[in-house]
Amino acid sequence: MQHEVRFTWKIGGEAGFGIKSAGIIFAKACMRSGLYAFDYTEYPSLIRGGHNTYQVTVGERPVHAVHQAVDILVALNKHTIDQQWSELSHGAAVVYDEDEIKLSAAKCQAKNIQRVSVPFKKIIDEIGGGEIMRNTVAIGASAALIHLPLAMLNQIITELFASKPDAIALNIKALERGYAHVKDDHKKEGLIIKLEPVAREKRLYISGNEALGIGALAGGLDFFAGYPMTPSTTVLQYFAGKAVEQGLVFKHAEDEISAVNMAMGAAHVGARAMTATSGGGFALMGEGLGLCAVSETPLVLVDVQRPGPATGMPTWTDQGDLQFVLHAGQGEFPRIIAAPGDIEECFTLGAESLNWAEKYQLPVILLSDKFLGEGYGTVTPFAEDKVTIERGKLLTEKTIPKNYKRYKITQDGVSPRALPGMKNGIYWADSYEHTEQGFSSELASDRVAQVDKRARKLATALKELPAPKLYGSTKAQLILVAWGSTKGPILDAIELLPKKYQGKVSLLHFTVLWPLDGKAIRAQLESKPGLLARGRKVVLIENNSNGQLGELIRQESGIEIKDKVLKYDGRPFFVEELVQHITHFLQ
Amino acid sequence: MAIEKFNTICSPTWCPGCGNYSIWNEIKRALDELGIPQHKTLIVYGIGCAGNMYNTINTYAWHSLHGRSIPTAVGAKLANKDLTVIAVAGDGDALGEGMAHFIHALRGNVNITYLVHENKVYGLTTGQTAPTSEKGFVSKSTPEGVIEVTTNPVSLALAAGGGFIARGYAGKPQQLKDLIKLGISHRGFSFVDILQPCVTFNKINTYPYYNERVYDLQAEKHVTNDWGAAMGKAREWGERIPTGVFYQDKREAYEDDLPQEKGKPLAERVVVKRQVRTLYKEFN
Repeated sequence: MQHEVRFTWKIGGEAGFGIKSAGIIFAKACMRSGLYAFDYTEYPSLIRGGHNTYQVTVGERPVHAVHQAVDILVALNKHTIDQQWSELSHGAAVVYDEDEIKLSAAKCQAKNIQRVSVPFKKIIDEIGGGEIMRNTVAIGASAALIHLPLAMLNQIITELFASKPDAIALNIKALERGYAHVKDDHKKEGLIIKLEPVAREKRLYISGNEALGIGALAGGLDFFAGYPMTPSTTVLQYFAGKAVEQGLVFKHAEDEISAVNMAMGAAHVGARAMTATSGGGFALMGEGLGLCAVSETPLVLVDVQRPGPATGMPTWTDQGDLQFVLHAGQGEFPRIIAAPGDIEECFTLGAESLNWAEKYQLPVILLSDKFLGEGYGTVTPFAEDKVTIERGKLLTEKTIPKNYKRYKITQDGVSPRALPGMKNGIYWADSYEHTEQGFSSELASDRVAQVDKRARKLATALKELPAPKLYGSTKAQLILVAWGSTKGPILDAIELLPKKYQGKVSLLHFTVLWPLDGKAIRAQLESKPGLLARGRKVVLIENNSNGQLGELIRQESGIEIKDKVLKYDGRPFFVEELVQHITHFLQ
Repeated sequence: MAIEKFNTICSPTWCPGCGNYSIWNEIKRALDELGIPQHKTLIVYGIGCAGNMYNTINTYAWHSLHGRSIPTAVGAKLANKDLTVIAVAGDGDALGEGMAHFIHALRGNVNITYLVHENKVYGLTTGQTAPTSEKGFVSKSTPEGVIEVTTNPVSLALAAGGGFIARGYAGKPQQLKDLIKLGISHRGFSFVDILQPCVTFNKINTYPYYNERVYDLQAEKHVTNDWGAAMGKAREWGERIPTGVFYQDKREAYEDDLPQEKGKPLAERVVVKRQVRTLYKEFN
């Protein structure tokens, strides 16, 4: 039986070496060959120097996780070999330039590493390319190692440099030289992987942040204000780049405080509005969050998490903001929190969150993270047809009732909403506690009525928001509990478990984190009240150090999940370590 | 009186004699004389005595957070350019907590009007120093007197690239109303600094203090398109205090440079699902 193709290619070098663009070209070529690609990049927060890596795992079946073992390593400097040596799988290939880096046969022996030396420097000197083109030579060499058709790469280069014809010719030359060198000079090493390009439907190689952007555009986003902060910046840049063409107003605000207030101003008059940031920026938006809730303004706030506190680790990943965004802002007020589990859910929630914001007239917070937001993966075109536009109890000039009251006490907590500019709809949107009309009030009766009304919106929303989803059998021996971006890695790990464990593990995955239905959670995890199902183990998996979803589950359902796998070193879960953890709990 | 339609069921809560009464009246009069429909007007209020005007004008209103009236007003204007958007703030709002927003609004030039009540003291928190307090001013937070020099909102606005910069005085209502009207009519960000005596907590900058000192720049034929001359006048404070329009330029408003603002206001377009298939190309 032929082995399923799944391998990991990694390139490393200094920032400014074109590491990421090389990786994307390589991944797209694999995708266009009918395979699935999933990337992972590690880079420090600087522009030149430092150590950057970009890796792509390629498979015949969809890939959603980072693999630790590297099968082909492209080392643009010696540091890459030193740093990544321990990651090399048995029989891996190292592509490097022996004119610049010494790699002895003895060192390679133990792991049977294949040395594939390509004279990067000599080639670029001969063709008259700059230092930065070594990455293109390396892609050519890598392509030859896996039988990737050169024409496919040439096509991608041509598209990429469409506006710079000179660069196209030079890069194609660099590609061809790298390719030819491996084909001619390394025949004896043999080609470790043989891809068989197949024609498939068009797929996308896209990041979570961009998918979220496309989702929001599909959902009718009109207005975006933000302030750049890694790793949320590509959300902002995506909208900036599409604003004119898509008729969206985009504003780069002076800070996150301004961004959230601008977005609220736009939402107040009727635009579908969004802002995006990371934890530090969200901290600045905290005061605005409460205003959003008390003024009952529909707004979507995206927090693409990175490790905190303070500056933390700007270019790394974490799920440490769940309890923070749940509690941000003084006082008590309703909010919805949801976390996309994968790139497809970034699209879905990008659109759907705008509906929730308008239906319940409150802030909706989307929690993504660096791993999901900046990570690229292969997806089939999104489920555009399923996108709907729901504006809730939005009035028109004709439907505004006599003696209209914006904050009218209602059963479901949601009051009909007029917009500034509409005749006979004048009201006062107040940061102060207020009457039904919106006039400031400190009366005990107004206070209690409005607090209760706002709180009822969550009970209303709870009935309609998606419940936690169980992947796998309800009778599984082991139930993993997780939220947001760990979904892909966990599902991939379950798939990669040894045969004897297949069917024995399920994942209970939370996309909506607030509001939570404690009763429903108990029904999912318990066989009878107070008891976890007989013989069943429940394990919490989170990318933070406190097990924050675990805390929430305990708070809402009374169930304490004692077994936890927590990772908070800035890295996402690698599939190999998850397989190991899961196996441990099954033994 | 025509301006009664601008009243609400709520009455102001300022001290008797407060300069805010005059500002309140002149905003209503200016709106009335300009003939802007109440439902086409959105006033964004800050927090403080100035912001407490919130309940008392019958137009659409947004009571923001301290210092944040500008960004909300900017967002609202960009989303519905047909609204007349006015931000009302105090000097703590504008020059303390919200200083950054003010400076960026001046360079941004979104077509809104910013009315800053400058009473040189924090009134609602019962008498602490403001950024505009004069050096040596004794207050509850500066019992030994203010050490810092005074923030001059007019020269600051000029330096930051403001396109319409004026100063009114609560004690000269007719001129104040005209300045508010000019500000609203100006295409771009208009800033009207309003000298407002606080009869309770500021015993220095009183009505008699201003009555003796203020003069009208326009009466002295000040040229409003000369930035240097405006800066000269902006720095004048002492025996004579200039009021009126310091500076006005003709540059385009921020939104005039946005192609997506052409046609119907954003908020009045029907929200429809966008076809996003065309966006996939770069990801293939």
